[in-house]
Amino acid sequence: MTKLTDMKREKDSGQAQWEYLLEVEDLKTYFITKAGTGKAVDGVSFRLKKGEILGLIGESGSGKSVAVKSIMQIVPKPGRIVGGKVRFKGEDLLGDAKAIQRVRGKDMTMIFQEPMTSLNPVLTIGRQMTEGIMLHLHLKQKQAEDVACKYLEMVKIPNPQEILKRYPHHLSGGMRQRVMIAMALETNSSLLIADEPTTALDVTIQQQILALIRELRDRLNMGVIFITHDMGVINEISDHTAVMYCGKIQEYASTREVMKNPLHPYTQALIQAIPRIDTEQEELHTIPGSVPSLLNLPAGCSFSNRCQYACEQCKNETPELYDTGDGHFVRCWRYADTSTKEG
Amino acid sequence: MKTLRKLFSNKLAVLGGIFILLFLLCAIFAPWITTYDYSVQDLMNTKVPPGGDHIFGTDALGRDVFSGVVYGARTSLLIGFCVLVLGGGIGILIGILAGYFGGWVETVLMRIMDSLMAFPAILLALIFVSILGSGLKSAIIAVSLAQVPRFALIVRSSVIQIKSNEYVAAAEVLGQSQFKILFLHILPNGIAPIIIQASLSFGQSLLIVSGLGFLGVGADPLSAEWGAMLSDARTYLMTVPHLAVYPGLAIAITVLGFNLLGDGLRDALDIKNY
Amino acid sequence: MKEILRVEHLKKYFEKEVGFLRKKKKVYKAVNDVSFHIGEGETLGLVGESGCGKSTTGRMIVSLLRPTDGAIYYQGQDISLSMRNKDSRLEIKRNIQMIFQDAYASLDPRRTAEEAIFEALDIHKMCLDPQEREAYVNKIFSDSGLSMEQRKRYPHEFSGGQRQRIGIARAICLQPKLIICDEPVSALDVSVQAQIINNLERIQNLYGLSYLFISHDLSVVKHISDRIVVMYLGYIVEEAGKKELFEQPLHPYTQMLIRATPSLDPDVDKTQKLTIASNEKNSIDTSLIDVCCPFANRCPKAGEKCWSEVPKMKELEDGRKVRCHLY
Repeated sequence: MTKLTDMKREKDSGQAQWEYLLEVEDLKTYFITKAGTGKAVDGVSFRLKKGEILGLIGESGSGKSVAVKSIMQIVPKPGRIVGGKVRFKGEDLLGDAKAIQRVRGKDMTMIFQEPMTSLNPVLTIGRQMTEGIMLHLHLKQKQAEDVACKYLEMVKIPNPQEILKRYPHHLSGGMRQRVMIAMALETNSSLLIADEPTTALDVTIQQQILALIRELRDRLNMGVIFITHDMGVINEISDHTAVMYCGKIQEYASTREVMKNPLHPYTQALIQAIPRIDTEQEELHTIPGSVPSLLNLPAGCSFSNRCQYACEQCKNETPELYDTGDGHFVRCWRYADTSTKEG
Repeated sequence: MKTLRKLFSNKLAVLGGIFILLFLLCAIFAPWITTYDYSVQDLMNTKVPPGGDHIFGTDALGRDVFSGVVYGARTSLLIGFCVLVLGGGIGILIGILAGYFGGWVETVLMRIMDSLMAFPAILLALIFVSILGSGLKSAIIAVSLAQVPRFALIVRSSVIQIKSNEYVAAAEVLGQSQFKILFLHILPNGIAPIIIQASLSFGQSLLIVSGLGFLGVGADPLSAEWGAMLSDARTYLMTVPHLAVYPGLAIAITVLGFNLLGDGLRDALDIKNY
Repeated sequence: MKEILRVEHLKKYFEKEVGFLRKKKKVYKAVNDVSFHIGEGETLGLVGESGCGKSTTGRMIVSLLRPTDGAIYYQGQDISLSMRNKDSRLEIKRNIQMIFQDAYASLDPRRTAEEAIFEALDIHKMCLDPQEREAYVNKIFSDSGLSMEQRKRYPHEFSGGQRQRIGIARAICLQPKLIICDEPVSALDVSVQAQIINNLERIQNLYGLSYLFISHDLSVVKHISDRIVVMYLGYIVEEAGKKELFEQPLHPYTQMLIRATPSLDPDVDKTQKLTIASNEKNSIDTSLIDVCCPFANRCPKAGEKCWSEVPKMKELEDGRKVRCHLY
């Protein structure tokens, strides 16, 4: 294991000119169809440091998943990245067609909600795991298997030797997700993008996977983007949280700040709408209506048609992401005056 | 209404519809369209090229090819209709029974269908013709029978798939009877593949009957039937090609028309498709 | 409180043939011992992780599945007997309705929202007079939070939350006494989930309904239920009032479940919570069913007895029920 971490350090020290692991600037991904243009991601910007976990939360259709797929440049058709910058370790990924291929699946890996879709059902776990190891480290099958075992141990899979001989369908959902994480580790990724990795899992298993991701982050200093629709999960995993709604980041702050002091009416309503296990509530707070279709967004602030504070300005003009101090950004006209500078 | 509007907005389906309309008009108004009787031979005017009195020309026996093609539509309509009612009806019924009830009912029915499928349709038809004797009637029965397993297989698989849908369980929770679940929920949702199969079967059966006619075991040689006409024309293919062109075109256009309309209908009936 | 439903020692085994040449029957024990009752106007929460048999239990109550063993009594009468006669079958069906997890799948794609309601009314010959029916359907729609204009729309034209409202409308239009809610909100977005939960609670008061609320989400179950039963691998492991269960969970599995449920409190000690989680042993083991305590392999307190003897449901002095050798 020491050998592997050493290797990682060497790789990093070579190019330490960058401050942020990942910088996303004004990213725009549109779905251009006959029925109209759906702005699934409409000007998303954020930065991620090494060893930081960023939680990306939003309901269905918020564009959270398309945003990270845009970073990986695996947006499904008819989606197209139409603008913005993605810098990974200081290198622009959108400008250079070869750049993304150098890092995707290697230095930057992604795990999905349903690991079955990214595992080959007719190959054993061992075959799938050793393939990359043999290629990258120039090892023989037997040695590669030993290395694979080490990674499986890292993700806390009991008797890894056995698991290597199994096929994906033999494993439970939680185990498959662990294998996926192990495969992300074996490429020495410095950025792990997790797209709802625990949504399909039971709560007890979910908690184990969350613990695993945090522990690996601490040990390997990985950057993690964690996508979920579950506020509770966000609260337990991420350092910073970005709340997405209709393709835009509506609020960005440290997770603690988002939970304790949510500023955007959407975030506030969302937190109040969730049944809580730790306190008593009489009736749940509701947000009227439902998430609007991307083809038919309200003018101005996209939350204005459901917002209890909405005024004329909200319905006509789109607010910017304002900095209210302490790195707490919010996209709402109510904070336009208090903002120190535009973000 | 919405279905019709969707159908009309599909250009290919409309084209198919026009072909079929043409075909139907020919079949219905045959005596009024034609000026010659196809069964009458005029040995003084054989192999007349197209144009003039005989717009499609005449064949080796001096019969008017145009009349043959127009009257042939009647024969084809009869064949297609009988095959859909007979073959389609029996096939759909068998498919529903097998798919919905499963168990030994399914095993028995589907093994019979499998053994029918094992024979190529034209071979099956030949067997039937040799049992029932040559003629249009036995050709139709044979072709219908050959289509039964195709319908049965398609209906069975879509019934099985639809049966597992939650809305069938929901209807059961409401207290709906099995029979009504079958006809209110399962069949309407399985209509698309049936329509496709019907349009394919229509075309296929025309081709097979034409093929039988070509082999000389189909319709009565004196009656107007496209396959038989083609068969006759074969001898003169090099010298008088127009004899083969017109019945051949008629078959092609009709089959194409049914396939295009079938495709269009399937899309139009898909409720989620705008 | 009058009892409306009683379930006694329910079992459900699924048989599956495996092997190609030499067929063997493999038995999968989905429900092993489930007993509970629901009172009039009460909400009983049925909570457990995937594969614990909670949905199978719900489906047996609405007769979508036939129990392998055990009995279900609706207002004292055995449901399996009532199913034999057409009239009493319809009577039971009318009184016990169900709301499905996947509302979209539970609606026939070719039938409009109002047709779904008409079908239910037709089956039970309710509101046969056209004017009366018109008014009744409007009332049901507004009670479920749908508008009149939406009556003639097809399921695919609705959003997820609205589809579930159609599901609710279809269930309540027969004026049942009991509704089995099988994960009715778990497929919905958070903001819509709250609307549906509130709507379910409002309808319960309006119609005097009882709910069996099946869910994997402890927070939702806690919010809506009066009493809760916890299931694990086909067994009910604990039954308690909502307050008691959350203040003092008895069964180690219930404790684990409560601890694992993500909390919204930013002050919760994450590191400690996650350390506990990472020490937990992995997943369910179906081979323990009928052999010993099914939870023995994951239980931090498992002793010798837990590995040798199947625990029985015990009623404690304070009336709480738990299936664990520790008590």
